[in-house]
Amino acid sequence: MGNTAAQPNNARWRLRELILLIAIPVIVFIIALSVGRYPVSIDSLFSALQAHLSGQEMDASQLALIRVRLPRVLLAMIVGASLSVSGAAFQGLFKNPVVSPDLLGASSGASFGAALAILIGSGLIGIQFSSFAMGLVVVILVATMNKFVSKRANSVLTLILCGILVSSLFNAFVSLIKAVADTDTKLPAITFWLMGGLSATTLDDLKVVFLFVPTIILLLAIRWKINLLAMGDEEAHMLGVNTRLYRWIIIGCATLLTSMSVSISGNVGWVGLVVPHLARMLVGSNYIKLLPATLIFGASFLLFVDTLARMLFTVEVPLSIITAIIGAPFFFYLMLRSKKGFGA
Amino acid sequence: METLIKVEHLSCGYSQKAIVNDVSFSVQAGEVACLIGPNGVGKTTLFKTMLGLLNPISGQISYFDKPLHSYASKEFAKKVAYVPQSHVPPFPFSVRDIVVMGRNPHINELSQPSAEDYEKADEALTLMGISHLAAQDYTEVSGGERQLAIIARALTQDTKLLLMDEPTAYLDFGNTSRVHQEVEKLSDMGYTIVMITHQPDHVFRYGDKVFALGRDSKFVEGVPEEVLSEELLTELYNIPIELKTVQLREDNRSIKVCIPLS
Repeated sequence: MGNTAAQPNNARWRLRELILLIAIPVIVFIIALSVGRYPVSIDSLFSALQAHLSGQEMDASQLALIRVRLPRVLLAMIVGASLSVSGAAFQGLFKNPVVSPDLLGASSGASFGAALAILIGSGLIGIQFSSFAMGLVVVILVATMNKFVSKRANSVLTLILCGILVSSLFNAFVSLIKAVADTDTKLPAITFWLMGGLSATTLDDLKVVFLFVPTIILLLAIRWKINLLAMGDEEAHMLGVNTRLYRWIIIGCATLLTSMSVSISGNVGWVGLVVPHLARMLVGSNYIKLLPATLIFGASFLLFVDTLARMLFTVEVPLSIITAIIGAPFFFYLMLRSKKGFGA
Repeated sequence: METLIKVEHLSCGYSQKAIVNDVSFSVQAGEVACLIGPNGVGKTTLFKTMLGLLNPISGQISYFDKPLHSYASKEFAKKVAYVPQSHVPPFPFSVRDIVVMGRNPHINELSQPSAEDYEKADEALTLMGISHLAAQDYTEVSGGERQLAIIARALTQDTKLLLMDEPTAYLDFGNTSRVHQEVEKLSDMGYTIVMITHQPDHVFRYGDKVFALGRDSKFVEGVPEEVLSEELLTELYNIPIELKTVQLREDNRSIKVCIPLS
């Protein structure tokens, strides 16, 4: 019996993990706010924040910081957190460590939904809703296809292949819509929406927090159930989990986060795949710790990437280019490192 | 004696095609009941139907005098613990993370395991003799240890009844014996156990009751000593079989063993 006391509980936070999870976002946040075309010292950073919060008069550089850079920084964090958390949730739900919102087709479904809504002339709400709905349709389609295919050959790869297949189909639909769209009005609107990017953000864009916060809270509240679902549907059911209900909640929340990110910043790949693995390397696989860690790392990672995008060249580099340059080699490293391999 | 499981005129199978036809049996409190039979006669189908994972074609199943279909999954999990064949999940959860999952029926929908739940998990691990593995990756321990962890998980559900799907599948000789020893211990502690097994020897050794499922909808139930004859076993497995009673040197105990002759 004395043995158990010596076995640390992996579900509890360790000091080292907590320090990293607090220090990393704080450091990246301060760097991201202070560097840029108009560098801001840490002193004036705090005085600007203070002035904003207390409603004092601000000078031009302080205004630029609060009205331009701060919203952009916060949106980058929201997008990074959304894509990463939805990636981690999908991985657990589909019992597959190599899926992500983009590989599952949620992103291309969301793009198609947005393009279609713009084509038929919907308003902003209509576009958002259509984007979410088509993302949902694609995820369900991919999951259903996988169910049929994996009856014969069950492998983590079948889900990925189904995802790639459906993604490319929906990307083709997006191209089709672009081809038939009015080149003077609709096409620029579609292109602008799909390309996204954080360069033109204002304080107004931060309204997405009203969608982001409740969705994240719901996912965090049920995160322990993802552990059980990762054991398989039958086992989870026999352990008393209402598998159908949780599957819908998780798919709904994760897809909503994905379509929201697509509407803010366009299709940014790799984040949802790589960040959950990065978080697993630090805190382990238990979703009790994994989901909060993924949230914080995802926010920090995309903020870091967006800061690079602003700083690297005189023109802004699209986010997806940098995430691919970081993500692809990192993922190959993960494949080499994993003991069992990702196949079969 | 209290009847925990009652199965009446049950037919089950996939898409209305009955594999198991019109079987009736019951399991009383404290019994160890073994389900045996050759491959492909529907043991797993019967088991899945008993667990509510498949709908029966006809007939009734009830647990604790309440029909299976009227249980919600959480309510059922508080009464009956299922021990599946252990498999390797895609993520390296720790052994304790796996075991504490058994507390789910007792945990609120939006909550997580409490310190008390982890204590229960550690108690179950200690009972199964694998408390030293608590913090290790479940994916890295041996097959026998994984199976013991899955049994420990079932124990944390706090049920009287355990349904085990061939707990010694894919285990080597030593691990098979180790798992059976733990199952026997649980039976001595008062658990009622229903399990699928492939070895008649184990039925003689641990079983109070046997359900033998054969080809062409054959179904025999009873006390192993009485119903498991050479003829029945030969018919079930389609090979000549001899039963011998041997006396152990260690404690002069007599046990019946089953020897295939082909």
